[in-house]
Amino acid sequence: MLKIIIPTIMLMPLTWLSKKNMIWINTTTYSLLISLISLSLLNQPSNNSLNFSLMFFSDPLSAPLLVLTTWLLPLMLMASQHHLSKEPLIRKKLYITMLTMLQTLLIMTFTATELISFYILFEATLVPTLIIITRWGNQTERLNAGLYFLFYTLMGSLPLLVALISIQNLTGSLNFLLIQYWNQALPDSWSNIFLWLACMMAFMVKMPLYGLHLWLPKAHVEAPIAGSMVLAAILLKLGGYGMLRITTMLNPQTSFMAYPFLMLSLWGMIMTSSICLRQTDLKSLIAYSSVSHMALVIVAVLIQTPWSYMGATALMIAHGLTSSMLFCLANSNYERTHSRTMILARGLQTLLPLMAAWWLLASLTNLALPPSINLIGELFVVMSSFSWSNITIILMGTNITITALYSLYMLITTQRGKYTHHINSIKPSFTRENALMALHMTPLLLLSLNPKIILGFTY
Amino acid sequence: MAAGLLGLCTRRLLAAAATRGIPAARVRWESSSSRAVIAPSAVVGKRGPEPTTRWQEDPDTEDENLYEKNPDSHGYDKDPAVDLWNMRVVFFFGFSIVLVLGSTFVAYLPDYRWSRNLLALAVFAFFQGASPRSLHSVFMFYYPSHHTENCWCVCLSCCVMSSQRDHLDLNAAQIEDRSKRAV
Repeated sequence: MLKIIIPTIMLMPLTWLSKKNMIWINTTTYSLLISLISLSLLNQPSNNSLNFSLMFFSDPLSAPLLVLTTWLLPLMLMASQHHLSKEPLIRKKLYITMLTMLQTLLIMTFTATELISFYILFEATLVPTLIIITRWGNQTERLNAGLYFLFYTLMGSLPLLVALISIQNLTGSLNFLLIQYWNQALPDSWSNIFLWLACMMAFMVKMPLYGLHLWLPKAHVEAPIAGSMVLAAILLKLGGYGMLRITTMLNPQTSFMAYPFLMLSLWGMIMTSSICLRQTDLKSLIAYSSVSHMALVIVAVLIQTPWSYMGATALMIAHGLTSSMLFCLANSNYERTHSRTMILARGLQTLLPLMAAWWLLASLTNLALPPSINLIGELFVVMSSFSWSNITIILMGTNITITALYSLYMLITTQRGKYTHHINSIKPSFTRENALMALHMTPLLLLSLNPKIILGFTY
Repeated sequence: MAAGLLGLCTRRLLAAAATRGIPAARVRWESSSSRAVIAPSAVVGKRGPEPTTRWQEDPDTEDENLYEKNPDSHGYDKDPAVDLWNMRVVFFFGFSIVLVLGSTFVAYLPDYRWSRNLLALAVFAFFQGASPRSLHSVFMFYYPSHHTENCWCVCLSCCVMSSQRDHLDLNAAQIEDRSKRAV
């Protein structure tokens, strides 16, 4: 694992020691090479996990998330180059340093063997993200967004710290590699119910569960493009990853404790999808869309069947790439019109036809068009939820329909119709932007050909 | 009460007029029956413009058109040389190296699940009494073109187990149990 962590840490001195005209080239190059190295983790010969050391390991669940994390850094750098072009050199370097620090912490979080180490790194990822949102966000609301982001996650995760220390005290070890062989059922008691809640709430807030999701639209909207990308693509998946790991030691409470959260997620996915239909702010629409998709992941994780786990992992990877791409597309609009309002940048297909093609592909993958991996994930989740309870098909089907509705609404509003008079002088698409979209879409399409690498450890 | 309500409505009207930027009439009314007083708000005229009048979230920008000075701009940098090299680096490392080589690597990853299942079948069949030669020919049916390390593993394990099987005296239930534990 050091072959990925040390080069990522060394991106920071690379940034500070590079010449002014080479910082972006150097960091983009080396971050792409780091993502190439991380692909080696997909070679999982053992049925169990690749154990690199006492501190780090990877298994079929964490390897795809790790590859997604390392792939996203060069994309974030490319997306940020324009809005940072007028910043002083020191601020540009600080920005890249924050992104690199966040990347390092995320890599260590996904590969941590020990739960306390995972917790510390999970909390540590909040710091660079908060700095990125509050320092480089565009509007004054970014301060409020940062507060919501920080305190929602902290409030949810402090009980997790207490629970982990308590479990460590009782069992002597919180190592993932040992927990999977620890078949001791938790006795049915009030304290274990609270233990379940304490363990799960941090990840529910992070996902986010509907009801605890108020931080997400604020943070996603007010963050700069790299902040939005990393929040939507990776940080939400931290919650899913944590839930998948921690549910192994919370049985049998999960079978009955999951009910209220399942109901909240099933209802919440419809509510947030419906809210998307009424959004005027493009980034806000994509943010609520993320809540809706993550509600599917919560349902899948709480059902706890092999197919639902496969669906959860596939959906996390698929949504990571899709929502990051949608935020990049929204940012390309924002850089031209300086407004996030959808109807102010409409009819763009006439002016930017290639960008319209990317918009079409992103919208189609967002609504889980076959044969994309989004569909594979959603289908697994829908099938396993139908198997769990037949009635859920009504809610799932409604959600799929509304997802298609708002995805097409977003596409038609931004691309179709006559363009407004104030945007007929916008700049054509840059190669940078088209390359960014291609680098999002190509892995998504390639994974449709070989989805088994993202189906997790129950495949 | 009516005077109070009237005062409330009037205050609301004045406030609405103030927020819309319409100058309010500077009159002061005092009720004779109650202590209600209506006067224009002290902050009339001091309120900033409504958000709807400002349609851009980021209005005070100085947009620089990169295409003006460099018609071949790729959007990375103002300097044409740096811009060109940045584009080349992204395309070379992003597409040619990572996507092409990476997807080739991923495509050629062995299917460990398939090979584990095949080995499990072979072990089960062995404990059912199949000879090593017949197991080897079954495996070669799936991989006729070349030997792989999994093939050798199967062959080797079959040879080792066949030499040990003669020393074992197992009934059918024990054979099934051992084969299940082996997988």
